[in-house]
Amino acid sequence: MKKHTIPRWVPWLTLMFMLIGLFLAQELRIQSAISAASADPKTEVLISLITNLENETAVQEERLALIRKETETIIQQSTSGESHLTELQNELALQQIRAGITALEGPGITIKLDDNHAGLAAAPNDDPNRYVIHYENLLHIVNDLRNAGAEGISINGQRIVVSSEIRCVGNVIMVNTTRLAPPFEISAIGHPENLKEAIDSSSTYQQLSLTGFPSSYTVTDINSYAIQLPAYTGSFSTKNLTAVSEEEEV
Amino acid sequence: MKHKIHGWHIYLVVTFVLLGILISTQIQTQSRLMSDLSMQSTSDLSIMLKNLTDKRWLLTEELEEAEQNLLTYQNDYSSDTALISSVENELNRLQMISGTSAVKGPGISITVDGYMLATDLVVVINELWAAGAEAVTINDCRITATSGISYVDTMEKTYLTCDGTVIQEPYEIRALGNSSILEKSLTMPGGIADSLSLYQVYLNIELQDELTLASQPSQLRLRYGRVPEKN
Repeated sequence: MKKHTIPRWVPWLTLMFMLIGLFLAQELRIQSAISAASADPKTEVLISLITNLENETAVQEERLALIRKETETIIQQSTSGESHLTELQNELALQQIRAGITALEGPGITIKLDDNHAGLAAAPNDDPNRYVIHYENLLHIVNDLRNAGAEGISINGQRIVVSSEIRCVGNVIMVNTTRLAPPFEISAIGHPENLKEAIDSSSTYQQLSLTGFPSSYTVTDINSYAIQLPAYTGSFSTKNLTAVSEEEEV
Repeated sequence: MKHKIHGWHIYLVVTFVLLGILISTQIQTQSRLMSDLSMQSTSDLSIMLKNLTDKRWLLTEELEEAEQNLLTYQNDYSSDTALISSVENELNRLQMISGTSAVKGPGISITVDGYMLATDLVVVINELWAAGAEAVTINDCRITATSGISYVDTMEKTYLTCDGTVIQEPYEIRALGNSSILEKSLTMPGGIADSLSLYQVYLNIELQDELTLASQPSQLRLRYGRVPEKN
């Protein structure tokens, strides 16, 4: 009688098909979650309102940046018999840098951070929140860079100015009320060694790096102008502010 | 020696290729998923919508003013006095924003009761900006675009620092802006005041009609960066 032997490829194939089955099931679950969420008509309306406003504010920001530039050019090219004007022009240029409404280039550091996809894939039943970058992570890294004397910082092309908030709404990280998605790229201009040291000793960066989040940084030469930061194109609200004169302050 | 290709070799290659494709699409879907708008709750979407509406309103206001100013500059090009007074207005505004000048206005003062960490302070200040604060100080330290919060350890205790200067207890945070919005952003259920209270840190918030916020004398002067030529 002939003996039945199981060919070598059978266990392999079984294993592979099981894995494929698992992945397909997961994929289906995700897809059905998406369609369930967007099936809600209220959600759909909200999403379209949000996208419209995002487009509208983007156009406004572009226009504001343009007007700021044009105004700047007129002011800086004006000449006058009064030497007072030159003084004002210089002070204005300085204040525009401090407010962050000019682009900036210089030496510094670029940090890259991404969600821990591999970690989540390896533990699909774990809480997914443990595998994503949170707004606090970005906030504390920005603070670490500021402590190291950063002259300017941007995250995914959003320039961080004095009033820039870094927050999350649901699972969405927002900076300057603009949605940002991973991977995150934080750029900072300053003394490269100081900035590098700040990241090496940053508990936030180290913790992300040690817990499997893809994280890396590159530092430029001190004479380089490789780090480019865009100008802030948003608005500043000052309607509740009145300047206090120096005499009043004392 | 001759290498023979078995049937199962081909099966194996095909399945691994399929598996690879599946895993990669899966990872793509998952990363898209978390931050995709369609995956956010209705209440989160409403918050986003509200923030964007505020943003549009502020931009509209600033645009109107900027356009008006640009017209003035273009038309009164020849008149020194008009030009100078416009430049002075713009300077005044930027100095208030950057923290070069002291400012006053309505807002809130927060007295901190308890042992606050540098990271907590960073989160509170960030929350105030998110709620539309127009100027913020911690004790006499005015927050600027380059201000960092940190701490120094001494033999007896740990001190918080703002821009490298020690800030002494009691900590008082001041923020100018719409005082009730600022207050609510901190005290909303599950908000920062709630989470701090778990660590016995309490925020005593007072709404004020007028508060004065100091200027920041140690302001940014570029040492490493520069404005690009074609800015």
